[in-house]
Parts: sequence; structure tokens; C-alpha cells
Amino acid sequence: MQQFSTGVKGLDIVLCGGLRVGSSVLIEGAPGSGKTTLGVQTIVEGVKAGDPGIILTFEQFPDQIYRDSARYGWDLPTMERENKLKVICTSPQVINDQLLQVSGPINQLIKNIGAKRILIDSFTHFRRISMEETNLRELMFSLMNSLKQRGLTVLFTKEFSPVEAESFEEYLVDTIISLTYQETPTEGRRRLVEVLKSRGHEHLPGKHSFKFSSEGLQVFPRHLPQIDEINELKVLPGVLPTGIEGLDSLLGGGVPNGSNILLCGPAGVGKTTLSLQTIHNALQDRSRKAVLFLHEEMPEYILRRAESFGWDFRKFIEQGQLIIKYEDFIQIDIDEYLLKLNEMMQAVGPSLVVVDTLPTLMHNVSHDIQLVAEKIARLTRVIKYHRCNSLLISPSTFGAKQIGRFGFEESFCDGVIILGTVSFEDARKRHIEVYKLRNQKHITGLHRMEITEEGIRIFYVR
Amino acid sequence: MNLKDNRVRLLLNSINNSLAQMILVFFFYRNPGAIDTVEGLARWVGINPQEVKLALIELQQMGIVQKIGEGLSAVYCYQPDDLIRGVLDEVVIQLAREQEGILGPWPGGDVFCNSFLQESKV
Repeated sequence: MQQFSTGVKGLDIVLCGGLRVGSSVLIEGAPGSGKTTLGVQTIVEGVKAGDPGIILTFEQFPDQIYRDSARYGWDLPTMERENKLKVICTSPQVINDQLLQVSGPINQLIKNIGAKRILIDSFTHFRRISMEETNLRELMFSLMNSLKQRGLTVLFTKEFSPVEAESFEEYLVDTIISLTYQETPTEGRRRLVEVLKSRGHEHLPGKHSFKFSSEGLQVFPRHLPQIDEINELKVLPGVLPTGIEGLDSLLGGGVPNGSNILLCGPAGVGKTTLSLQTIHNALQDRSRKAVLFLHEEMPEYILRRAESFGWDFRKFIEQGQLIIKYEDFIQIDIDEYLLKLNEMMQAVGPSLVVVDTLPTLMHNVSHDIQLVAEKIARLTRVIKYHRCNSLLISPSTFGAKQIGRFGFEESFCDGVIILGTVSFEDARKRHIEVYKLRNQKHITGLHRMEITEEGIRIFYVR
Repeated sequence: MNLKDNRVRLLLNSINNSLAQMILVFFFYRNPGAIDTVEGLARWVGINPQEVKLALIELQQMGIVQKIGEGLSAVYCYQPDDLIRGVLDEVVIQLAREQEGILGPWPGGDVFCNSFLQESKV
């Protein structure tokens, strides 16, 4: 079975390799959902790969398609001049008549340019010919066969009708790609793509988010097959020392390699400082790299805070040892984030990742607790897959009984460090507790902690 | 543009005198891949099919469009020769400049064609 790329980053992963050569594909969705863009992108990708294509449009003027495509860097007029593409505006009736005539102009065009893919935008317009479902089904069947006989992959777009529960088109085609633009309680509207059917090859189930990027559509799969299909990840030997006096002793030497550590505690207790100090100490070894993801504080504030302790983070950045990524939590699409995190981990190969903070990272899915659990599980899995350590900061509320903000994130992590305070003689005293640490002997219980001019000190003597 | 050429003068005169022809020329120029029936083209350009039909006959005689088939299912497509294509290139580019890049349905197109005709008389 031969498959080809749709040109949509991420969608080929969802389609487990792309679309099948010579198949029929239905792209359905509401107005503005991206049907035409997806169709055009697949045609353009074909042209780039040496497979000429045809776009049949029944409502949108070709020059509108040229203009919209130019936004993504697709120069359709040049492709037309080079005889690799034809954009034809016509009527469904003409297509119906012409495709049955071997010597008709449409068939001649297909033959002349050696077209391999055709986009019909949209099949909904065939209702101009008939409103009878039986007639339309017959029409689509013969149209599809006529084009498939010529070796073409046929892409139909179809306007989504909320009245129709299911339609005959869905039975006839090999692949169905559904695009939606859903309202969510926290994110406003969210674009989602779902493959509902893919005859002859696998696909990743579920809804995956997508966006219009400068290069067309970009899909962010909910699953990353190379990571999710692994049933077992080996326990790595060795530790990453935090370099913090007392803490490494509590941890039994440091953070076991390949561990995700949840760092909890109320605001102002020292979670970020502990993370920065760990980064600073870890990067004293020039072979190590770290990535710091910020979703609350801006990088400049963090750099200054590090400087106040005498930790020169700018030097680490210049040396290529430290990457600080700031993303406003309101803008975060968690699936996009996880995909990019995976790519970054692959490219950079850090020893330590710090996420400040986990609840802000999850903000846009926080309306659905199951979704939060799924995303935290994937986050920790991606980090573990790349044999990296992480400190995931999850602020807890004063007086709350649960450990982290969500109350379940600790179960996805290998270790939990809790920072807290107690009121003592009109002053607040900090303490630290290694609440959980898989695969390593460690010291439990509360221990005094202070934030000094040099950073965090923990009062524990073996 | 060779304004002394009879075909060029005929083309400019023709599109200057008929709004339907002007709009259809412009439509085909901007959408060279269009292939449609009289009814279909009437829908694309938003003109009465009867007027479109008459305009297409003229455009076909001028060698701008080609008719394929007969009867109601006959389709028309853009097939100008190099001379006509060259004229249309100049006309449309000039119009586009005058309309500040908005290739709308030719407001002011008649003025432009007249200016060409005036020049040719001189």
C-alpha cells in the first residue's frame, strides 16, 4: 500500500503515514473550519512532490484561492504556468457531464498535466443538480470511480450539516477527515481535527488540535506514536545532584536520572528558587543542558532573580547550555506544546527541564480534569522518553489537603518534594519534605529550610 | 499594444460597448481555468444568462473564448491567442493600477478603453 504526505505537519502522524494513493477522501466541516485550506495544501504538497493536481471550485473564485494560498507561501499561478496545477472554476453540472466524456476538456486537462490528485470543492454544491439522495449517491459514486480509474486520488470537501447525523458520502469514501471549531469553557474556540475512517490503513483515534500557521495547517496529535507505543522505559542508573546543601542527602544523592519530580508548596515558599539553584548547580558541568519553561514570570525577572543570588544565567544562555522559553499561558495549546517539547528534547538533549508552573501550563484544559490528567501523563512520558529529569512546579493552596493544585499530579511523577511554612514565634519558618521518590532510598519527614543570600539551605546532617 | 490592428480595435470597442463582455473578459482573465456553461458563467459573474450568452458569442468571434459542445451543455473556456492575450495583459494591468490594485468589476473600464481608442485616432 502506497501512502503520500498531506503536507500537513502532524496530520500524517494521525493518518499513520498519510493518505492512500488512489483513494477517495472526504474533508468535512463547518464554514471557516479549514476544509479548502487542507484540500489545497494536499494538492500543493503533491505538486512539490512531482504529482500534478487539479482544484475544482464551484463557489470560491480561483483568484481568491490564489490570494489565500499566497498567505502560506503557495504560489499557485506559477504552478499553473509550469503546468503542474490547474484551478478550474466551474459548475457541478459541467463536471457531471464532462467527466463521462473521455475527450471532454476536463479529462483532457487531467491527461495533459498528468494529474495525480484532484480537489472537488465542494461536493455540497452537487445538490444544485439534485436534492434526491439516491441520485446524489449515484452521482458521487460514478464521479469517484471515473476519477479513480484515471489513477487520481480524489479529495472532496463537504459542508457540515448539523441536521444530518450521517450522510451517504461517508459510506462511499475511503477516508473521512472532520474539522471542527469547538467552543471550550477556558480557551474560547479550539480547532480540532478527527479522522473518522481510513480504509486500508490505521489512524490515531480522537480529536487533535490544529492551527493555521504561516505554512498552512498544522496538526498537533494527541499521541506521539514513537513515545506512546513503548510499554516500558528502562530505569536509568545514576543521579542528577541538585547541588543544594542538605537536599541531595535527603534525596539519597540527588534526583534519580530520568525522573519527573513534582515540586509543591504555597506561593513564596521557594519553589522557583530551588529550581533555579538546581539549574545553576547542574550546569556547572559544561556537558549538561537545561530548558526552563516559564508560563507566569517573564524571563527577565527570572534572570534578575538568579542574579540576585549570584547565578549568572546569561552566561549559560550564551554558552548554549540554557534555553528559557516563555509562553503566555492564555495562548498555550497543550498538544502543540507537547509536540514542540518533544522536538526540542530531541534537538537539544537536556539533562533537566523545569516547568514553572504546571497549573498555568494546563490552564486551557483545566475545565476537564480527565484531559489534565492525560496531558500531565504525556508530559512526564515525553520527558522520561528523552532520559531527562524534570522539576514540575505545582503551587498548592494554603491549608489545602491535596498535595498539588490538581490533587492527582503526584501519581504521574517519580518523586514529590513539598515545601511549606509554619508560624513560629511571630515568624514563618520554611520546611522541606521529600514526600515520594521512586527507585531510591531517601530521608522522609520535615526538615528546616532557609532562603539565604546564596540560595536555599536545608538543615539536615546525615 | 498595436492599436492599428483591427482585431485589437475591435476588442477594445467591443468590451467598451458591452458591460457583459467587459465583465466576462475580466472574469476569464482573472480566472483562466474557468470552464462553464452559459448558466454557470452567468452565476459566476452575476449577470442574466441571456446577456451572457450574447456576450459569449461576441467573445468567441474575437478569439477570446472557445466554445466546446453544443446546446445547453456547451461549455466556454478562455483561449485567447498571443496577440489578444497581450492586449488583455496591458488593459488589465493598466486598469489594476487605476483601481489601486482592486480588480473589481470594471468601474472606469470604459474610460480606459476610450482613452486607448482616442490615442489610436491620433
